[in-house]
Amino acid sequence: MEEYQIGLVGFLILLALIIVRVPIAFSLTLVGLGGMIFLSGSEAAFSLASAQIYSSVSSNTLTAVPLFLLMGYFAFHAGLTRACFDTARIWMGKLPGGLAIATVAGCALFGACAGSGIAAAGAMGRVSIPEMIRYGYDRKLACGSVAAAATLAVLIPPSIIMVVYAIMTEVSIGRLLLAGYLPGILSALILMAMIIVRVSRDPSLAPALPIAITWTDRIKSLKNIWGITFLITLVLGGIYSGFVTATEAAAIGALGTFILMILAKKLSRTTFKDSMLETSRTTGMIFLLLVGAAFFTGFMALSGVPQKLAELIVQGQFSIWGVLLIVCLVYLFLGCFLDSISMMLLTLPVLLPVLKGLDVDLIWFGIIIVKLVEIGCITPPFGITVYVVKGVVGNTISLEEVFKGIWWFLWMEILTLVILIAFPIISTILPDTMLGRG
Amino acid sequence: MEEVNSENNVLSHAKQVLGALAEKMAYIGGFVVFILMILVSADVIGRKVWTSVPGSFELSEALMVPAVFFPLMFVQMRREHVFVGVTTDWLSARTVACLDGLAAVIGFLMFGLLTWLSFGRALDAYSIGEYRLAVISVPIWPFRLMIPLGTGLMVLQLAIMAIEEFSRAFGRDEPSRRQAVDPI
Repeated sequence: MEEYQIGLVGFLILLALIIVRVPIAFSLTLVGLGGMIFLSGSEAAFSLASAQIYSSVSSNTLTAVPLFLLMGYFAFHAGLTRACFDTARIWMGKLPGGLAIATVAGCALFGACAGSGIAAAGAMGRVSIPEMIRYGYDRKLACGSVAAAATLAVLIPPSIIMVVYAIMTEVSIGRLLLAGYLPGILSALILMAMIIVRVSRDPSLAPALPIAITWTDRIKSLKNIWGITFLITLVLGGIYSGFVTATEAAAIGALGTFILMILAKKLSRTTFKDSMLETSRTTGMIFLLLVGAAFFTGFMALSGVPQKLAELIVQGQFSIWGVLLIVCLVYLFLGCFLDSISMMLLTLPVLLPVLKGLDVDLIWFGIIIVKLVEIGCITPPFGITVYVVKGVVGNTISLEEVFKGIWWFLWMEILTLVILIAFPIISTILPDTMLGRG
Repeated sequence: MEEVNSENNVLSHAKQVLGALAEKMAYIGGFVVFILMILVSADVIGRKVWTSVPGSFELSEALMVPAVFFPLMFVQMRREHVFVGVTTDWLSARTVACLDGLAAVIGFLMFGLLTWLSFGRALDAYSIGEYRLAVISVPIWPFRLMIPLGTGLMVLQLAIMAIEEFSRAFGRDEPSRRQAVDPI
C-alpha cells in the first residue's frame, strides 16, 4: 500500500468514527496519531505528539481566540444586545418590517463584539421575537430574521472561525479580520432589503408600528450604543492602522467590553463567574479540536494525500471556479450536520495545497469559507442558530415554522455568497489598503 | 444487591467530588483568560505610553496552556466535546449508550497516552530547567506540567463515563434516551 492510500484509509476511518458518535477531537487524535505511528514508527510519532500538544496551543496568534470569546460573553452579560436592538428599532422602526430590520441591524452591531452566532441568537431572540409578535408580525419572519442575522457575528469581526482559518492557512489574522467587515455589512444590507421588499408586497407580514418616533428620540437613542461604537472603532482602527496586532486588539476589546459592563452596572459576582465559566468551556471545547487537528494535519502531510489531490487537480486542468464550486457544495453538505470549526479542520489540511497550487488569494477564499460556514449555521435540518431560536421561543412556535421562516433568508445568503465570489474586491479592498503590518 | 449499591455509592461519591473539582478547574481556566486580557492590554498600553511589560509575550503564550487544558474535564463531564448525534439518533438507547461507551474508551486510550507522553516531556523540561529567553525569563516546565494535569483529569472522567455508559447499555433497566445537543 502506498502512503497516500494509507492517508485515504485514515480519512475514511475518521469519517466512520465521526458517524458513530465518537467526539470529533477524539477521532482526529486517534486517526492522526495512529496514522503517524503507522507511517513513521512509534518513537518518532510520540516525540512529535508530545511537542505538538504544547505548540498547537501555546501560540501568540491563538491567544486571540479565548480573548475574543471573553469579549463576546462580556458583551452578552453587559446587555449590549438589548442596547443594539433598541437603538436600531428607533432608527429603523418606521421602515416596512421595521422590527425585523432592526433585528438584523442589531445583530450586525452585536456581531462586532461577539465572535460566534450562538450568544447573539439567544440574546437577540429573547429581546426581539416577543416584540415582533406583540406587534402582529408573521412568526416565521420573526424567528427567521433572528436565526439568520445572528450568524452575521461569524462574518463580522471579531470572529473565532476567522482566527482558526488564519492559523491553519498561515494568512495574517489582522488582514482576514479586516476583510470581513464589508462582506458582513453587505450581507446585512441584503437581508434588510429583502425584508423591505417582502413586507412592501405583503404588508400583513409586518403591520406598521403604531408609535411616533421623532428625530429627538433618534438622537437620544444613540447614547445606548456609544460604547459599542467606540469599541468597534478601537478594534477596527487599531488593526487597520497597524497600531496593534489582532491578539492585542482582542485583549483591548475584551477589556473595553468589561469596562462597558461595569458602566452599565451589570457586573456582579454571578455575571463575572458566568463569563469566566462560559469562556473556559468554549475555549476547552475549541482547543481540543485544534489539538486533534494538529495530529490529523501532521498525518495528512506525511501521507501526501493533499499533494496527490493537488497534482490531480492541476493535471485535470480544473479551474479555480470548478474547485470553488466543489468546495461550496461540500461545505453546504457538511454544514447540514457538522459544526463550523470541525468542518474547516477536516477539509483545510487536504484543500490547502490545492489552493496554493491554483494560486488562490487565501484572504478572499477565507471570506468565502466563512460565509459558507455561516450559511451552514442555518441550513436545515440541523442549523444551530435555528435550534437556539427554537429554544428561546419554547413551545409557542414549532421547529417546522422556524425552519420555514429561514428559507427567504437562506436564498439571500446564497445570493450574497455569489456576489462575494464574483467580486473579490469587496473582501480584499480593506486589507489591501491597510496601512500597517498584519 | 448490597454490593451493587455500595459500588454505586462509591461511584456517585467520586462523581460528586470530581464534579466540584472539574468546575473549579474550569473557573481557574476562565480566570487565566481574564489575566491574559489584563496582561496583553497592559503590554499594549504600556508600550505606547512608556515601556512594554517585560516577558509578557512569552508569558501570554504559556498562559494558554492552563486556559485550554484546565476546562477539559468539565467540558467532558457536560458532554460538550463536539460530536455528531444525528447519524445515530434512530438507534435504540442501549445501542447509543454502547457507542458512547466505546467513544469514552477511545478518548481514554488516546488522551491517556498523551497524558503519559506530555508528563514525560514535562519531567524532561523540569530536569533541564527549560525557560523562554526574554527580558524576564519565563520558566516553561510548570506550564508543560499543566498539560498532563488537564488531560489526566479528563481521562479520569472518561473512565467513569465508560463504566456508566456500558452499565447503561448492558444493565437490567431500559436506559432513557439522552438528548443530543450540538454545542457550537
